[in-house]
Amino acid sequence: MNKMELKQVRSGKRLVKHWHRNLGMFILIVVSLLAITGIALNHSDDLHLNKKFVKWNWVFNLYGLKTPKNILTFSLDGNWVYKVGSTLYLNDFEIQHTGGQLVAATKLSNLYIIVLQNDILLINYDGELIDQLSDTTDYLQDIQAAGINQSKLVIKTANQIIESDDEFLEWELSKSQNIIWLSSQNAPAYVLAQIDRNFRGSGLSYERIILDLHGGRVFGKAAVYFWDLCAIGLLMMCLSGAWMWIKPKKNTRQKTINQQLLN
Amino acid sequence: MIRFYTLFVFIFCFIVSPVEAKSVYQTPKGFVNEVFSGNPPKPKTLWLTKRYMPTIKKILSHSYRKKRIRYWRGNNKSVWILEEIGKEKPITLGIVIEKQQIIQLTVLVYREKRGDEVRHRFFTKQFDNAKLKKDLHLDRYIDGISGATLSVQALQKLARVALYLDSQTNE
Repeated sequence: MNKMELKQVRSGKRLVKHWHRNLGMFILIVVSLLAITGIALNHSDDLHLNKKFVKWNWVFNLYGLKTPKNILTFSLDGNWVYKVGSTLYLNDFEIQHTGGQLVAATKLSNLYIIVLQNDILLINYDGELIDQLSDTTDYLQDIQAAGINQSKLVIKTANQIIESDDEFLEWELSKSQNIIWLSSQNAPAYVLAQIDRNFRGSGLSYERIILDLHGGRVFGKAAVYFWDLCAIGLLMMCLSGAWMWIKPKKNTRQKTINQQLLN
Repeated sequence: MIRFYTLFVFIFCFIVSPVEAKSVYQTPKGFVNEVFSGNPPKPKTLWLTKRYMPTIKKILSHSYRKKRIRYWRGNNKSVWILEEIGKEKPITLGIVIEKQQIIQLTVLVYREKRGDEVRHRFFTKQFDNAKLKKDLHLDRYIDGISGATLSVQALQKLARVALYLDSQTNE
């Protein structure tokens, strides 16, 4: 190896060392985070991380678990009906999973009547389902509003306004001008808290958050790619580290030979 | 190469697209109208009180989902619209009973992803003229359909419930 080649090897080593150091600084935070969260996940069961739940609002917001503002609430003798996602609630009690938006709720004939977009549920005071006026019937499609006319339920669909009999079995066109249309009421703070709780379920476990921190998902989709970049950086550091570890030995041996040749 | 990617994207979209499983073959109202030739009687209601609940629970192995059942009776026939969960979602049946035997059983709404073969006539005709024995079982063996076992069971249970309720309301 002549002087030129020797110079090239030395400059190559300097270059790798330079990149190795800079890359190390660049991925320092991410690798530290990966190491700490990795250790925590390794001992998740011992630390009961899956049984402990985060209650911080800013974390919920970060996950997009912000309770929608437009949830309709209806008061029935102090009991509140609302729908969170696909689940219909009477206070904290889950009535059932159902499709379509909640349109209205009222009390009639000793029953709670819950009107949904394509369905009407009759519920007793214990929250048990008495009957479900099916969404497969011809007339209960695309319900837009519900009202009361002399103790009878009135439904406004896209095409017509119909009125039920006392037992909610038969429907006929309503010609009444004295319909009192039902509208939602503003829920008190404790009901809003119930809605929040039901929307968020048990909340987010520490294990889930740590897992998402470990994968970078907690910072958004772009962070996952950044994490990938850091992982590639770590791989390159391993290779450059190994190269630098191997190279000096060769260089030392080569250096001795070169010294002898030069002398 | 572009064609390959287009095909790949198409197949991927096809695989991940959500399946709309609910199939309404006939509305309950349409079914009742058909049975009574467009002139149905007023519907009646049966409240599932303590009188009926133990037997229904014995047949279904659980309580019926609703506390009130609507049915129609006229021309010596009774029509029952009943629901039972097959695997995950309810199957809606229309059952016509005359002289305490089934004369028609029709799947009106099928909401499960698989097993909708039970709606075909080749299967439902097995219920024609079926009666309820004293032990609350049908008087015949119903051949199953592989891959639709739970749906088949749900249909059999509802057939038994309908025959039982008909016997109770026809006294």
